[in-house]
Amino acid sequence: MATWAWAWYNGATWTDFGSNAVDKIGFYGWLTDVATSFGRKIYVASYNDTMHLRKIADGTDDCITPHMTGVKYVAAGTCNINHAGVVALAANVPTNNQCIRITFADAGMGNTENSYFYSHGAATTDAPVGVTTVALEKGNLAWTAVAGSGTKLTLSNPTGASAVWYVAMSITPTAVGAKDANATWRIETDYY
Amino acid sequence: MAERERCNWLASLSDGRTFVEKELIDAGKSAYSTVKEIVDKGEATLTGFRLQRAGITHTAPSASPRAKFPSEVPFTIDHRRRAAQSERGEEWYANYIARANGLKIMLWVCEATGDTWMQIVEDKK
Repeated sequence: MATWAWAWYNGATWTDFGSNAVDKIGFYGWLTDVATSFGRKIYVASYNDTMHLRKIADGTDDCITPHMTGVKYVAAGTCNINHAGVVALAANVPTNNQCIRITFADAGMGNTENSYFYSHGAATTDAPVGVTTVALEKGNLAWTAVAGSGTKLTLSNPTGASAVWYVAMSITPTAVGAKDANATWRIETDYY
Repeated sequence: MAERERCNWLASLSDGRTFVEKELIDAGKSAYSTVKEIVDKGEATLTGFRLQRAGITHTAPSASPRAKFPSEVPFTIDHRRRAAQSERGEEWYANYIARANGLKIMLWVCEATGDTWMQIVEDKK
């Protein structure tokens, strides 16, 4: 049985995102701390400071405290983690625990190849509309623009009975207004 | 989204043996490596490698002499699965790859719908 799992680290344990019908990943700006930043707008041309689980049913914050970590794009080789200050990307900046963890396993698998991370709009070939998206795999020294099927982040190709990737993503609106369903994150791998 | 029915591959060898991916996995063996090892050791040659889903066996079309598979041109086979996931659902594909005459010929099967298509690219290895 093949399984995918997306999880975030809440300071104590890895927590699965769970059903997409319940929560969405929300990207927000900054107010006074991570908790109060839920719902805070991101200025045009500025990237998100925080990330939260947004409950679809009532629009509330569904994070388990402490909240998800926001890794903000600042420049190609720098980031700002939970608004703590600008730092250079490095082998362990951000750390595993500050990224989203994506795992995949299937019976008989031993190798992966052609592993990519995408952001797309209505179709997997489309770039998101109204937002610009970037992503990195932990250990990358630069962010990579992701937009549709043509502009993608090349991931590592883990070996073994399961594969694990640690990914951070950041987003900025290109115009004023809510961007509730403009970008979808997607991962793909070939395995054998 | 259509329910996924996983593809299995069936490998036929020149000595009459047939291997089914699921049976090897259920026996706790690394499926593709088991067959590849037999071929690499020269114990037997592959005479067929097909994908099977929902009782339908998929083989490459033979309209093109180069795409004919199994064929009279020397070929080697390879096999991959592709998995993708986003909040809009999962995608599952299986393929086999036949390498011959400098071409890589891939037969893809969508494990959710059963749709198949061919992809032929230059084999850069």
